[in-house]
Amino acid sequence: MGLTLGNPLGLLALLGLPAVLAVHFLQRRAKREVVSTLFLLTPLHRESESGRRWERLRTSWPLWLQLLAVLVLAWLMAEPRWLEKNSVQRVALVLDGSASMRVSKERLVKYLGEDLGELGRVSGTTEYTVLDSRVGQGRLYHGTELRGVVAAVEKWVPAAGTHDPGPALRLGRSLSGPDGVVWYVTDHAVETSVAGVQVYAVGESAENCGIAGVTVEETAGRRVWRALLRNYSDRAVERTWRVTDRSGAASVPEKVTIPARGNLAVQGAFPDGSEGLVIAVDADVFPLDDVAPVLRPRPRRLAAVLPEGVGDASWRKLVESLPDFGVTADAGLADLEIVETGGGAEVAAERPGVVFVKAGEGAAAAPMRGVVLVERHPLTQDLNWQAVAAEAVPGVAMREGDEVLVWIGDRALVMLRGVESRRQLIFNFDPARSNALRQPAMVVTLLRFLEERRGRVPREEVANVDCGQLVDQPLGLGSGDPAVEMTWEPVGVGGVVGKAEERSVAAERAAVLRAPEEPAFFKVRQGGRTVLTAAAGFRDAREADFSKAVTKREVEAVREALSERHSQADGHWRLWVLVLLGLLLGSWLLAGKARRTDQREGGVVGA
Amino acid sequence: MDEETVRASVRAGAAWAEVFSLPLRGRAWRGVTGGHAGLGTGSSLDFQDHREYQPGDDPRHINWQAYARTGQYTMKQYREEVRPVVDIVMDVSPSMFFLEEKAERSVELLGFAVEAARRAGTSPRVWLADAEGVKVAGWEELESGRWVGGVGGSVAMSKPPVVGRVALRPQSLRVLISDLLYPGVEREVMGWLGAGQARAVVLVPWSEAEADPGWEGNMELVDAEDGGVHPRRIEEATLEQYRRAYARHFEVWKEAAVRHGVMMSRVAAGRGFGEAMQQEALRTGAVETWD
Repeated sequence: MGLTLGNPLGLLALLGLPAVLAVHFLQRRAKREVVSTLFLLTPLHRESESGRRWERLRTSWPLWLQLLAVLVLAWLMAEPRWLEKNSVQRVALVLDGSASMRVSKERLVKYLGEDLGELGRVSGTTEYTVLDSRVGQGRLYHGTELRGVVAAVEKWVPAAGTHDPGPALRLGRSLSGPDGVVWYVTDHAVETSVAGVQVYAVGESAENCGIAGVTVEETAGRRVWRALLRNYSDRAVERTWRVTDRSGAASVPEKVTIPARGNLAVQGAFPDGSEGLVIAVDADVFPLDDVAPVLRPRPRRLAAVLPEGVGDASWRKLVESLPDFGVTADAGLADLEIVETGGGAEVAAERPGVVFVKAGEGAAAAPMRGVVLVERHPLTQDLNWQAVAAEAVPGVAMREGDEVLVWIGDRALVMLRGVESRRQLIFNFDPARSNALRQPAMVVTLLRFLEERRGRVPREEVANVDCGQLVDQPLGLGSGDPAVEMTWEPVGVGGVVGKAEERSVAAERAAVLRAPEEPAFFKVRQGGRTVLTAAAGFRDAREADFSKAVTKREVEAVREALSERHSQADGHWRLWVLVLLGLLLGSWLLAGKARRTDQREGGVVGA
Repeated sequence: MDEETVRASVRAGAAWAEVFSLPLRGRAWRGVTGGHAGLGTGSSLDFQDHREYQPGDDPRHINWQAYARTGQYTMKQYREEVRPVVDIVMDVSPSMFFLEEKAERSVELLGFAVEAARRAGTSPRVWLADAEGVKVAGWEELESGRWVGGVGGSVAMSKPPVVGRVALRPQSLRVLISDLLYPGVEREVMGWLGAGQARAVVLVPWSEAEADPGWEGNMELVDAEDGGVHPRRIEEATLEQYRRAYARHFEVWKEAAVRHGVMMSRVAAGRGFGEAMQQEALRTGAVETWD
C-alpha cells in the first residue's frame, strides 16, 4: 500500500522543526558570571569579544522529544492515507481542438505533466484517455503512462475554428465512467453543458493582431482583394503588411496603425497575370492569422436550357439575374433545364431542372386554402412559406417517389422529383398568379437547389476557403472511383514556403476530405481531373482573440476527492495523538527538571 | 561578605599565627627598643664590636681590661635590640572579595599577618588600599569587618590599588596581601615594596575558579572591579588561551618579585589555611614557623 497525503499543507507543520531548533539555540541564555580576570580575556580570540546570538546546539532529551512531537504533529496534520493497491481511476482529457490552443500548447504540456502526476499519486493505477474535441479525431492516447499522455499532447495539433465540444465531452464522460475525472482542456474559462466535466484552462491573455478576412471583388473591370486587419488587444498597434505574389515578387511593406480592438481594411488589385497572392502582416503569438493566401475565385458557372420565349417574364427575369448562372438554348452545354408546364401535364424527369407551372388564360381561380405545412428539408430549412398565396390552378400531378417540401392543405406546393442525378424542383403553382416571387422563401429555395446542383457539376472551381473546411466537391465517392489526391503549398509571411506536400485519400473517405489546417494553396484532383484549386486561410476571429484567455487549474479538490475514493485513512491516529501528548508532557517535565538543575548550579542568573 | 564572616575569618587567620610567623629572623631591623636585633648598638647582652672611646661615651661601657693592657680607652659595643616595623598593606579592591572562598582566605591572611606581627613584638601598621585611595586601619576596625566595602566607595573602572600612596616606613617588613590581578604594574609595585632596604612579602590569595573557570558558550562576564558587563563567547580554545594567560600573568609578577628581592607566595583558597601556606609560602620563606 502506497502512502498519500490527504492534506499536504499539513506538512507545513514541519516548519516546527527549525522553530524548535531555533528556540533551543536561543533559549540557552548567556550565563552571567562575575570575574576578576577580564583583562586576561581581552587580547584573546577575536570571536570571544562579543557573545553570539546563537548558542551552539547541545542535544537534550527535551529537544529530541519536541522534535519528535513536531514530526508526529506533521504526520497527523498531513492526514496520511494508505492507497489501495488495486484501485484504478480513470481520467479523460478532452483537448480543445481550436486553433487558439496552439498558443497555449507549451504551457499545456508542462501543466498536464505536473497536475496529472499529482492525480496519479492518489490511486494504484490511473487510466488516461486523451480525446480531441473535434469530432472524428479518434483517441489521441489511451493507457496508464503519464509519459504517453504528454507525448500524445506534444504531437497533437489543434487547428479547428470554434466548434461544439459537447460530443467529445460526452464520449469522455462515458469512457471515464461515473467515478472518473473528465477535464475539458481549453484556454478560456468556458462552461460546458455536460455534467461532471471540469474545465481545465491553460490560456494566457495575449495581444494578437491578424487578418480577419479576405474578399475578392470585381471593381471597374479589375479584380481587387480586400483584407481586414483586426487588432484584438486593448491598445493601438503598429503593423507592417505586404503582399507577395506566388512567383515570389513582394510589394513594398506598408506600416499601418490599427486602433485598439478595431479593424483596418487594406486592399489592392491583383497584378496582371497573377492568379494568387499571399497577404501577410508582422508575425506575433498567433501565426495562423498573420498570413492569408488568396486566389482569383472562379466559381463553377451553371448553365440551364431555357429557350427564348419560354417562361413567364416574372420568373425568367429572376432566373437570368442569378449569380454565376446563365441560360442557353444549347442543351449540350446545359447542366440543367428549366421547364414550364401547363396544368395537369406530365413532367419527365430525364435531366435535372426546375419546373414552373403555367396556368391557362382565363379568369382568376380561387386561392389555395388549407394549412401550410413545411417539411423538414435542407432546401426549406428556416424559410417561411406561410405568407405565400397562390391561386389553385391545375398543377403537376404527384407521382410515387415525389418528395413534397411544402404543403398547402392537401396539395403539394413545392416538391422534388427524380433520383439524385436527375432531380427536379417543382414549384406546383403559377408564380405569375401568386405573390411567391416577392417572398424570400421561393427565391431562397430556388437558390439552394441551384447551389446543390452546382456542387455536382464536375468542373474545376477556384475558390478561397477556410483552413480545415470540408472539401465539398463533386467527387466520385464509390469504392470503384479513383483515389482523391490533394497537393498543397504552405504559405508564410514571405509567400509560399517549403515544398509542396501531397496526400491521397481513398474515394470512400473523400466525403470528409478537408482543406489544409494551416494557410496554404492547394489542389484537389481525382482521376487526373482537377476538381478544386483553392487558397486556405485562417479567418476565425473568435479563435484569434486571446484577450480573455485564462489559466484555471483546480486540481486540489479533484485530488482530494480521488484520494478519499482510492485510499484509507490512517487508522492509528488516536495512538498518534496519545504519543504526541506523551512527548509534550515528557518534554515539559524534563525541561522543568533541567531548569531546576541549572538554578541549583547557580551559574545562570538570567539574560 | 558579611561582617560576622569577616570577624570569624580574621580570628581564624590570627589563630594560625601560633603556627606560622612572618620572616623576621636573620635580619637586623630598625625600630624602638625591642626583642629583635637592631642595626645599631644598644644595651643588649649581645656583644657586637670594640671601638675607640669618644668623648661623651657612656663610661660604663669602657673596657677596663683592655685599658689595663693597652692604656687606651676602648669602648665595648653591644647589639641594639629593637621592635621591627611591619607595614601590612591589604588590597581591598572588589576582586578580593567577590568569591566567597577567596574573600575568606584574604581576610584570614590579613588576620594572620597582623597577629603574627604582634606576636613577634613588632608594631604593625595596617593600610587598606584600593583604586580610590589608602587609609590606615586599627585592629578594632579590622575585626569589625566594615572595611571590606573598600576605601573610597564606588570604583569607576578596573584599576590597581594605589599602593604608592602608602607611606611605608624605611627598613620595615612590608606585607602586601593582594590577588595581583592587575596587568602591567608589577615593576612599580615590586619596586615600591623593595625600596628603602626593606624586606617585603607578598601573599597572593587565589582561587581555582579564577585559574580554571568553567566558562562555556555565551557568557556575560561582569567585571568584579567596575561591574561592567562584557558578553563573550567562550570556546574551549579560548578557555585554554585564558589558562595560559593566567599562568603567564603570575610568572611575570614572580619575575618582578625576584628582581626586587620580594618574597612572593600564592596562597590557594578553598583548602585549609595550613595546607595552603605550606604549599608555597613556607617553601619560599614568605612565612616561617616559630620553632
